[in-house]
Amino acid sequence: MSIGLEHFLALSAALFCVGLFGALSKRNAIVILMCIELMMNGANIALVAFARFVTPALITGQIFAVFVLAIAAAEAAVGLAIIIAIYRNHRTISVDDINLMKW
Amino acid sequence: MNDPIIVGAFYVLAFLVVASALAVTLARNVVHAALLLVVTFFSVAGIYVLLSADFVAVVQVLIYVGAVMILLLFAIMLTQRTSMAQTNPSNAQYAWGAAVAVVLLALMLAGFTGNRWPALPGPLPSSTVQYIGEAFFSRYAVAFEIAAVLLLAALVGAIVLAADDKERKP
Repeated sequence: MSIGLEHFLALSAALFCVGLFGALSKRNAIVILMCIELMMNGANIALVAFARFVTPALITGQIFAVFVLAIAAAEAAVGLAIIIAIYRNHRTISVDDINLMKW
Repeated sequence: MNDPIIVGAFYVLAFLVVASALAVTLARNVVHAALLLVVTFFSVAGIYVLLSADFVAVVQVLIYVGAVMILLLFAIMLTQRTSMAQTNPSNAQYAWGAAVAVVLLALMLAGFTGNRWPALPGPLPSSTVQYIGEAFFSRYAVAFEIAAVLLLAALVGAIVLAADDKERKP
């Protein structure tokens, strides 16, 4: 029994799909942001696995993963600021109730 | 990666990652979901250690657990209404979301199996920190500087969006 690239890619796919399920089916906007972070972690696992197994000499995947980490953190900050601003005006963060742009 | 300790560690960490991720989406209380997300992030850092990515593992813990989770917990605190008990409900598209996720998982697993990616020759660098540091300032310097500007923009934007604007009105 040995662990190869496919095992890590399967783990990455599973984490991404769990995050996708959560992002599509939850009502609390903060939980949707948490599930988006899960999706980005799944993608990062795939990147680092490729760096380890396919290009071990130049670990490009790890560098890419660090950039994804930085961008995910920035996006979480801005997304949460938006959610706080919405809460201040509408007193709710349930995405079912934030439907002013729905026609 | 044949060592049984590494195989065992992989399966334990993989189970922790997927189980805590599922628990994040299925927990009834959003604070429980946030704390389970911390477990997920730590387990993903463990997976990075298995992949010999020591710098990425430590940065994962520092940034995700240390900064993003604190931010999420503060946002949960600032947006709470009455009781925290049922703060993570599912919407009406629960079944469709599950179906899409399962289909995508099946497609991805079908695409990943088989030895599709031949390995390029070369050894792993002995110190990933040094290698990544040198790469950031030589080959990826532009991306590094742009990431810094992006973080500045996100910082200013988040402050402007979340600031209480009662003081700014004349």
